[in-house]
Amino acid sequence: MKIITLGNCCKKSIQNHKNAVIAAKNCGVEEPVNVSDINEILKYGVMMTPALVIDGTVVSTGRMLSVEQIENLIRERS
Amino acid sequence: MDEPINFAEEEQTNPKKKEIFAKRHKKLLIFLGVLAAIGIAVAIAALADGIKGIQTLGNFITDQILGMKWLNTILSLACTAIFGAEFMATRWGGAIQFFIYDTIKIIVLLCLLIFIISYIQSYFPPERTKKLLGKYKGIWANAMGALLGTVTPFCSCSSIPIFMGFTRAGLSSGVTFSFLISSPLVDLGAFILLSSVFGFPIAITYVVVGLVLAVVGGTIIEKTGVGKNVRDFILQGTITETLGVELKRKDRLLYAKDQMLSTLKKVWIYILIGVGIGAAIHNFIPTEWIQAILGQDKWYSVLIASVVGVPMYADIFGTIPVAEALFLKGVGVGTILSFMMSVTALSMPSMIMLSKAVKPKLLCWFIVVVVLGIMAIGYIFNALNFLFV
Repeated sequence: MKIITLGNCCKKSIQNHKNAVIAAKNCGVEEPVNVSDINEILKYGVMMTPALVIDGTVVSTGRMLSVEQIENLIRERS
Repeated sequence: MDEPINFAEEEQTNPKKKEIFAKRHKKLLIFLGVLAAIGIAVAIAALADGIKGIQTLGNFITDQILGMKWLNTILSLACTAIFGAEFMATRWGGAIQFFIYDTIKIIVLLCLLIFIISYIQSYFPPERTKKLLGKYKGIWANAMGALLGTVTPFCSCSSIPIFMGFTRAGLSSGVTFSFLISSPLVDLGAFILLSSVFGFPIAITYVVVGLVLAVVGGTIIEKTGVGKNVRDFILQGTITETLGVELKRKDRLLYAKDQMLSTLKKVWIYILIGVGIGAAIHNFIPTEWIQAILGQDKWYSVLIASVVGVPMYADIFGTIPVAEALFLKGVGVGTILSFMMSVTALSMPSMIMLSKAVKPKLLCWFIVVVVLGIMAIGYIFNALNFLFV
């Protein structure tokens, strides 16, 4: 499972990435990668960061997710 | 033999269908119910006292519910009990009362409003707005851009991605700028707060005028061709269409709560500063001074208000107490609108962000068009001031 967090321009995005790292560890999946380049972010069609991408699918945009929420998203897809 | 059976079946399925209809259109039914309740309230007021009854009802809503005048009454009693009547008669007494009343009022309204607005905004992420805008052409696209600008969540952090996304998706520069102008300028929160301070006529006028400015400004930027002056990297690259993320009601409520808390954390300092300045204007600066600089008979009042407002960075919530105090000192409605619009529509941080995405020529045009538009609004409203006071 490949998890990508988009954006690191503000506190919310940074916190979102940290939460994703913890959630991934808890679920025993690969550590998430952070993408901050706007061009790369737009390739996912996302205009509001923070956003979360799991296996190429955008699962959340414009919201900071809690560790628990990310865990649920990971479990739904595994 | 078949027919009666069919009838029986139909009778059985019909109530089920009705139930499904009620379930499916729950939101619609609630909406209609609220509309009906408002209609009945207005009708009762009209029956009781004619046009005057409707006015009384409107005043009651703006003064007591949105304006929280009752809070001011309680505060004045409480302050008199604590500090004594003598102190309350001095300037400091008045300033303290204005400060406490305005702070509580604005923070309570802000929390409530941000919550409701964020809930609505969760239906309009920029990804969806972009898709919706692609369906419109010409002036309608500008109008939709301005309208959607009021409900799409927006912060200076996301202005560049939105700008790039819109441009790459093939939306015209006019539509993008209509969106960018109306986004910080007009929203539901500004509307409710303005009605609480100035009453419905000025609030409605503010919204309408703000939207017109966004449409006209966007159109000018597009038609003159300056809209093409964006930085090269904006156009190089593509944007994918996302399917979007379906949110459940629980997600939306959570989002609204998070938004409310983070906004409050971000703007409380501006509110306190704004209310502080408002209280100072309200009680310490002589009316004659303000009249001399910003009085309606002074042709330069709108000019000063707009130019002073441009570099200032404040939320609409921070500017309202200042505007309120100026209004009470008899400053013209047009001058106040100019001040509020220039503070919210143009600010240093948003200019800096925008300068990364567009070439200086377009940035200058953007500033000039918006400032001239705001000043025109100011002069028109000062000329029509008698309608509002």
